[in-house]
Amino acid sequence: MCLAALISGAAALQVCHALDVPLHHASRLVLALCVLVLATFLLDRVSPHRDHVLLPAVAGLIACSLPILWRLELAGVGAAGSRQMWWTIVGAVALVATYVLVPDVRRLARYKYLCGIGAILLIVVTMAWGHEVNGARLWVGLPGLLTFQPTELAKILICIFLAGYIAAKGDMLVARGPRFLGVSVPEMRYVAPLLLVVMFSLMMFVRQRDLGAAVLVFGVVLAMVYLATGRKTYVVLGVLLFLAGGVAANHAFPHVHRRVDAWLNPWADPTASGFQILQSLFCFGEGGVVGTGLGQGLPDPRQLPAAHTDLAISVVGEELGLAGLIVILLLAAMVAYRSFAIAWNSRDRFGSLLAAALSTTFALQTLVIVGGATKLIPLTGITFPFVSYGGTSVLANFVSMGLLLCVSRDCAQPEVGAP
Amino acid sequence: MKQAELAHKIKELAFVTLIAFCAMPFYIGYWAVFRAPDLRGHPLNKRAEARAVHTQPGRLLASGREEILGRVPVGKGLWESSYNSPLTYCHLTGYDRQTGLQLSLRSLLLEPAGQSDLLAFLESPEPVGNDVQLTIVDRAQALARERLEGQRGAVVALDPTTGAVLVLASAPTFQPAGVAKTHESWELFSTDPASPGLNRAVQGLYPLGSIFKVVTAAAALETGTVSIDTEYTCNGQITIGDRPLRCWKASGHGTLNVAGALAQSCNVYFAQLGEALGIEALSAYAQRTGLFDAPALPLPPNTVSASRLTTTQTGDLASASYALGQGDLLVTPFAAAQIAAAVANHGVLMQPELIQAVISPRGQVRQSLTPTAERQAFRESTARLLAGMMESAVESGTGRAAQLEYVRIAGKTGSAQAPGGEAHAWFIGFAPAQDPRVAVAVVVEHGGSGAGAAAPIARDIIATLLE
Repeated sequence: MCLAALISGAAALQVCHALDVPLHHASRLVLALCVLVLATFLLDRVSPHRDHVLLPAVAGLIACSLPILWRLELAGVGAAGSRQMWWTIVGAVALVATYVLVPDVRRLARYKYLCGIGAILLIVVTMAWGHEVNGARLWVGLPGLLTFQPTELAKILICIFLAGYIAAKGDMLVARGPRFLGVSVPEMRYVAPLLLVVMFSLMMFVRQRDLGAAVLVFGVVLAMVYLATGRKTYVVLGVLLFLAGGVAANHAFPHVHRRVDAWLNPWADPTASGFQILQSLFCFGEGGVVGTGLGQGLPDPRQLPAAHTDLAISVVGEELGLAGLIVILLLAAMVAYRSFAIAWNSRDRFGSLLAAALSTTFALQTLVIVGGATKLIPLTGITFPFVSYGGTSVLANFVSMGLLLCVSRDCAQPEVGAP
Repeated sequence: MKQAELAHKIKELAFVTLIAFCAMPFYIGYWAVFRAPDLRGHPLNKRAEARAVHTQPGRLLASGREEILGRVPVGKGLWESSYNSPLTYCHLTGYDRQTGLQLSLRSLLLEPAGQSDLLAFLESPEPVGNDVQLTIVDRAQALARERLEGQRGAVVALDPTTGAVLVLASAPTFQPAGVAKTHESWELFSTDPASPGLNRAVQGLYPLGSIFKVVTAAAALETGTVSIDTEYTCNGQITIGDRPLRCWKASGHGTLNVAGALAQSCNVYFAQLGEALGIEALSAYAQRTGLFDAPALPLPPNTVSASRLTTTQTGDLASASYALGQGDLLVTPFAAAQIAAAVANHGVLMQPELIQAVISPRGQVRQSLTPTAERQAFRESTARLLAGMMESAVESGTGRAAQLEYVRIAGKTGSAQAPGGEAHAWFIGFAPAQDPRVAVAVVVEHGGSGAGAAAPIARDIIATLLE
């Protein structure tokens, strides 16, 4: 945690030097990290029996992200830095609140259907009252004042629903049912609620052009189905289904088609559809191994669309280089590893499944945006957890970290305990 | 399902995920390391421009390391290029990094030595571009500008044995620093009827006039249409098809062989060669001398022209006109100089070279000129015959104005009919005739006769280059 503060402080000095900014501006950066340190101490006082690596790793990610966002803000790309600082503080409070207000995470399993319906409601609300930004209808609220992305919270609710439903009905999914095309399929009445929520969320996400969220939910469902049934055939079927759906969407929706085209050959239309991905690749090319140095890259928002949100990772690639990216990926991998460890250390079935769902969400989200920014897969609008700017995203990620800590507190095996 | 089984599956899931995390840096490394040069140099990547402001631009040097393009600081860490002999080199330097070598060599001049050059970085962390040393000879280039002052035309000088470009001058000139300074200055520059921005040496397209007789003679000799002894008689006029074609000497040249015809530039003789050869054979030989290929100079590609045949007339008269260089073939002064260079270099045309060396900020020579043969334009025996004929043209023929006391010059004059005034004056040649080190082409728009307007300039350029 102190290391995170150090990283951030040093980075802030570098930004001040590179951009000719008075030094006292930098002190604001460290404020958010102080709140995180405070939150950690607070949690230690409340309960010492929980995971002790997760939060420092998250703090590390934030320590890397805040100077980058602040540096973009100084260069005129939104008010990302200052706002993200406040959102980090709000997020830390939400984390402590989640931790304190959920006395026993196992009880959440009772509210699985409520969570499923809640997720659908949140998505419907966004559909009905949301306004569009960059062609995607994701935001609710007063534009310019305070906007909110309900789907970020819907992801957590979907995780709770999936974990609760599979913990309760998972065995039914394994039970031999009628055979279909040589594969035994479980009975419809057990699969129906699962399919209903999943298909509805997917359809809605595709409708409101939140392709990133659609990919994410599909991936998490696939992972959960594997955990529930242990059948790799389902995973293979699911991936095939996903590819088929992708091909169909490519033909059906012009905006999907544009993205896929931009992914396959961005050089064909470098000034329009391929613009963003090319600019992102230019960032990585410019950064090379050690980067140009903080504040030395090109921060012009016209050059890199979504520099402070989805493609913050490209800015890292340019200014901190491959070295900086490896540090951030290591920190993210550490968060993912600890979350999965919480999942496999849990004695409780629901706790395991919830932690696994939240970990998969976190890991998949990271991989999808890094893969998108580097032309490995089509670029979809999705944030890098704790690194990209985005109030609701940060808040939701803190809440899911809070839930993970709850699982580690409530469900850990006694012989493993707290390290 | 047992809890232990679930834990095992979660471990599998985590394993796959972490593998993906580990693979990611390698994949990013592909872009950040292996593809970085392409990405950094991509024309849509605006970083190069932004970086250029903070880079000490490399200098452009003449062959004796005289500074053509220097650099001056214009603020904290900001640099600009400065023009040291703006009028002499305006067509080479271009203006505002938008044209000329400043555009085509920008990656050399403005790219810092690169992260791989760690020593350079440690020595001067401020990014510094490379210096580029050209093959241009400063004194000759300056003389060419001086002699073309007030006229429109171009001078090209090549080293026939290496392909090095020694002079590349075009007139009228312009002040590169002032071109785009204000809206008015840009208007004035871009609408000037004399088109000073045109680099006539490589962009100007002119009828070749009698210069082309060198190619006609080569075609005739190599196809066996004539031998060195074949004689025709010139009575001052000949009828081709049903139209009379006059020789420039009304009383006629009498009986001539091909050497005499070239020395005297006899139209009647060459018209008959053209009639015998036909347009296709002449075009094939023009092609072999490389006339129809834009020379591979490191200038921006859209500012280097290839010669072109504008219409496709056929018939004896068209063939005869083509043979005399008065047909529809339009040629750049650079290509004309290459004809002379190929004759001088035993028929071998060298690839043109404008860059002598690229010198890193630490003084290391990063790349230097290596002469490469481009094509065999003429057979060696033909080249020897042509050289002899061109030598006698200066010795005792139409090119006497190019004579120098102490070196023997071989050359050919030309005057190409041009609409809107007197003929364009041409001279191509090389020297010393026995051991050529310089090949030149001079064109003066509406200069009248080649002997009067172009040959003296060529003579002085040769004298300066051989000093």
